Amino acid sequence: MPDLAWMQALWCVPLLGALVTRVAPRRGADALALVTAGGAALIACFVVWQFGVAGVTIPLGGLPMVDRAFGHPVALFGYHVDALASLVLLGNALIGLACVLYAIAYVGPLNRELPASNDRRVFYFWFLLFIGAMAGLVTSSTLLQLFLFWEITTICSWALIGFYQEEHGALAAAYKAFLMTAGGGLALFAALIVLLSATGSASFDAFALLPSGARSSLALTLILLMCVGAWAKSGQVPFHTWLPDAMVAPTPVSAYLHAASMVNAGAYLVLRLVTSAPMDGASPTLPASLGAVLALMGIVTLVVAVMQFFYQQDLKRLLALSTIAGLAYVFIGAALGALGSERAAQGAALHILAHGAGKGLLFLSVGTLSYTMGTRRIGDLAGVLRAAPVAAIGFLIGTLTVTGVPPFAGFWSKFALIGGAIQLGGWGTAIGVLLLAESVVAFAWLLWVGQKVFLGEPSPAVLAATRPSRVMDAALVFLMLLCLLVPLVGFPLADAVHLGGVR
Amino acid sequence: MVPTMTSLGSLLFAWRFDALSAVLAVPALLLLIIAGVYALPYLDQPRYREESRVRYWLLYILFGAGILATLGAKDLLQFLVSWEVMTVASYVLVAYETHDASVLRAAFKYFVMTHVATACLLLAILLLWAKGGVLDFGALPDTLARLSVESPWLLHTILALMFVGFATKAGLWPFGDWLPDAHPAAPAPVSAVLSGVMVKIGLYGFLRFFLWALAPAAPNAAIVWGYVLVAAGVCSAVVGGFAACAASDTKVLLAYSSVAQSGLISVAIGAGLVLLPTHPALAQLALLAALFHTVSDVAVKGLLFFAAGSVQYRTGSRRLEEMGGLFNAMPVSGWTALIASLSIAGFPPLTAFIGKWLMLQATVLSTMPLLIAAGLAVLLASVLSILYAVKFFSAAFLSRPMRPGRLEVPAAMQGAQVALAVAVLAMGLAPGYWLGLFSTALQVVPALATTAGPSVGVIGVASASGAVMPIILVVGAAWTCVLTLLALGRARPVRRVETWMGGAVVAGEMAPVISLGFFVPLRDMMHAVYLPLRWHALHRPAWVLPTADADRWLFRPAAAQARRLSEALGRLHTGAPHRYIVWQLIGTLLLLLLPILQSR
Repeated sequence: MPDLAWMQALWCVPLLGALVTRVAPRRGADALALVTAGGAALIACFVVWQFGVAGVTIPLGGLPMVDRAFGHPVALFGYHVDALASLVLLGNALIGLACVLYAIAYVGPLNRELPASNDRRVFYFWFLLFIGAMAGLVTSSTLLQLFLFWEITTICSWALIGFYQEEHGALAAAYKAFLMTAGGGLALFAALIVLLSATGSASFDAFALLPSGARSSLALTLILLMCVGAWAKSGQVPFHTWLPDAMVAPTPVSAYLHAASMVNAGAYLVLRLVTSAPMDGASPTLPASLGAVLALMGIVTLVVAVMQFFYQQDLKRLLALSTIAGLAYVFIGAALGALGSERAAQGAALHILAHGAGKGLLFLSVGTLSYTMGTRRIGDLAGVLRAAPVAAIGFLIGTLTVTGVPPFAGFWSKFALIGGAIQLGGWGTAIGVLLLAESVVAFAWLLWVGQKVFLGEPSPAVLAATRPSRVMDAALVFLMLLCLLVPLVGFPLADAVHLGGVR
Repeated sequence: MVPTMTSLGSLLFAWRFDALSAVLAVPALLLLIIAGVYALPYLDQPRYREESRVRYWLLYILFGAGILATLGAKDLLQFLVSWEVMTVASYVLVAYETHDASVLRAAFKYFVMTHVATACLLLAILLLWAKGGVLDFGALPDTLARLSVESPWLLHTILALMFVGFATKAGLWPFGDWLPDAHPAAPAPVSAVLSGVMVKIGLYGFLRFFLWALAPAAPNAAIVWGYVLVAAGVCSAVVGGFAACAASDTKVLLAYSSVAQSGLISVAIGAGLVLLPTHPALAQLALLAALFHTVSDVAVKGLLFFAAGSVQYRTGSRRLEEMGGLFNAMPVSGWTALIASLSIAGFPPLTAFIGKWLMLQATVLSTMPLLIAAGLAVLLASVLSILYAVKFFSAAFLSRPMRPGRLEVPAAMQGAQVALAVAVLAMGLAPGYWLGLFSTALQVVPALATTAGPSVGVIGVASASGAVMPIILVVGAAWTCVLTLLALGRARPVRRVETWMGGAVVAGEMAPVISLGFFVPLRDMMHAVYLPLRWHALHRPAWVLPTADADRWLFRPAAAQARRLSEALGRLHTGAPHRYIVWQLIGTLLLLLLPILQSR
């Protein structure tokens, strides 16, 4: 099969699967969804294996009228797979598969917290559509194509957050999430249009073609507009308020869209912009203050997220805040990349995958509690270990992963990221120490909450628990293995992430 | 050259043991095996019935693997990863009794404290990586030497971070505050390994980084940190000794004694570092003392925790006041506990004496006032160790029996205790053999490779500064005892008289509660030194959530403003035709004015 066909298959297979699952008979929907997600994961793994380290670009041309307007062909569409895209794509495909598997049991009448009588086919439709859109997003070679997929993911997110329509606040939360992410999307679109009209290019390194140069204030404005889109998508300050509210979504959605995949889109975009800029000496040709702004916003986000940890009564809201903090790491890594630290950019790229695996695991572990005990309030839960041992182990491993305790995945990404920060020296060292301190605080609090919930004498809610489903446990075990094994796949890929664009 | 991340990954699968790590790895492995045997019957207790055996053994093996991998690490990253694997596994083992809230609190405290230590180590390693570019131990001395010239300030920051990391693991006061909480929480075999081996890994860190790497590279920095180690060691030996005397829980007592013993060893290491440039022979003596005491303490501390575990196994209690007279009921545990107690008390033929003796020689003969003071403080700490060893043994095993009948523990536990007791006796009675081994081990330390070791025989050790021959001491001590007994036994027949108190005859057993007694003031004093952890006292300020909620002060007000604006604009559309005519007129006028304005 030619390379192009694989790229098309990456997003067309989930899309077709979504359509077929929607119209298929109810009984076969689960199997169809699982087969689609599995197929998408296999295709993604193949693409990563084939092109991950070496990288490949397949231009698809543009639109005749745009070409005429500029007087030269403008590449508006195309595929580009490299190490950075591969890292995000792997997480997208593998965690997506785990979440579909999990959802088969979770989104159903046996769920004690939210017995779903809704048609599950609707759920699968949006979920699989999202898998396809996200795969398309990370393999886009131009900003325009990326934006198109970007907006599809926003719509999927809206539909999935509002899936439990009867649930109090579900529709409002969906609306809020849609408003904020689509508003950010508008900023991204505006920047994209200005950039396209000013340079006649929609590629990620088009800033160099600006008449005033890539370090001009116009370039800074455009990049910051794009960052607004990215911050909104990734739930960064000041757009961090939609993410905790979005936790009314079914847990597989929270695990996948709002921890492991969609929220990565913003971080991916910023990393992509930073790594695409050609090098000028030791640092990329980007506006001088970009790194500082990104780092500052990342640190503010970290602080805002961490200080709210201590007030959460809802496990999922706590994890949502931790997600915000986890993505702030990636943004800070991108900022350090913009300042010239390749190692930090590599760490940030690896952190997308590592954090996705760990946070997905944490969310699904908490989902098991909702499913078997009907509550996810920290105060109502104690001694879950005996009722749901796999979830307990999952929560511990997830905690150790996202807070960077060796030998789990998060350690390796944080090691590279913080190491890169310290190598920069000066403010970089200060940022590194701050990140390390955040890791310790987050670790202590997640462990504290985890102990409260999973260990100790069982509370009444736990004594009345039903048995967790085997299918859900299988998804958890799959993610636990992922948390441990990510470095094996992630190291060669992260090594191949370079500053300075395509070499 | 900076290593790629792929090469970082491949580092995980190769280890290198040199003599310095082997000296600890072999006893560690042996204690792990013996404690495993001990745990077989120990975990049958009713209180562990609800817990999963699979969890215990899986994590126990992981714990052991982490310990050995830490000792066998050949680069910094590998060291850190193994170190934290060890910590994670030991956390799950400490929290084995998952339904007990106090156990969980202790395990939490333990994990968070050691995690902070790990973060310090990680930061130190990252700084070294950023400055030196390589993580291999072999390149470490060069990096340190270069740093000591280029930026001493940075070097000392790195060393301080490492010191905190290792001191926390080694239990040095005040960093080792987790010990007295974690030990009572953990099952006895886990406590034995924690105190017997894991605490020693922290001391191994001092040996590996401060002695092996730093001392040849930057002698001046090594002297500074040698003094820090001596000071920290003296503090923990004294504070730990007092706290152990004040404790009334067997395992808390032993935990504090671990703090004290770690302190002694760290005094020895520190003295070695200080003496190395000027008095290499004395330095070697001090370091030999450190190694000997470290290795012998593996067995002694293991044995003591086994004894506490056996008592708890049979009586269900750890409180010294509730025990007594167990010597006849459990003779094997009693005898082995006696050997361990005498050993830790520094009774001559047994192990702790050798270490302390060599250490005293090295410090007192150095003619450096600070070191001599440290040596004298070690003497004080020895007195304290006699106090708590006597307290532990006599409160548990002597005085009036609290329970009737035979209470001896199962054979596997007895076997484990006997094996360790044999090890203690072997080390104590033939120290020369072991000291010979250790002085060979010290040859891997570059700074000591050329120093002539003390001459070593099976029964003793002689160096430039003196000789130790424990056998002779034993014989001498034994003769003294026999003569004293003969003399006193003749002179004083037992005299029975009425006491003034109520006129009753007082039996010897009427005052058996020696676990409190004159230790009460000590206990009160120690409350100020070891503060209990109070999490519920943490105050959560109310302004945080409103501040963080950007909806509240940004988006909702902005939306309200936008709505107001659109309502104001909407008012223009009133539906009255005459208003629209006015707007049309104004618009036409503006259009007409535009070209006029533009033409100017």
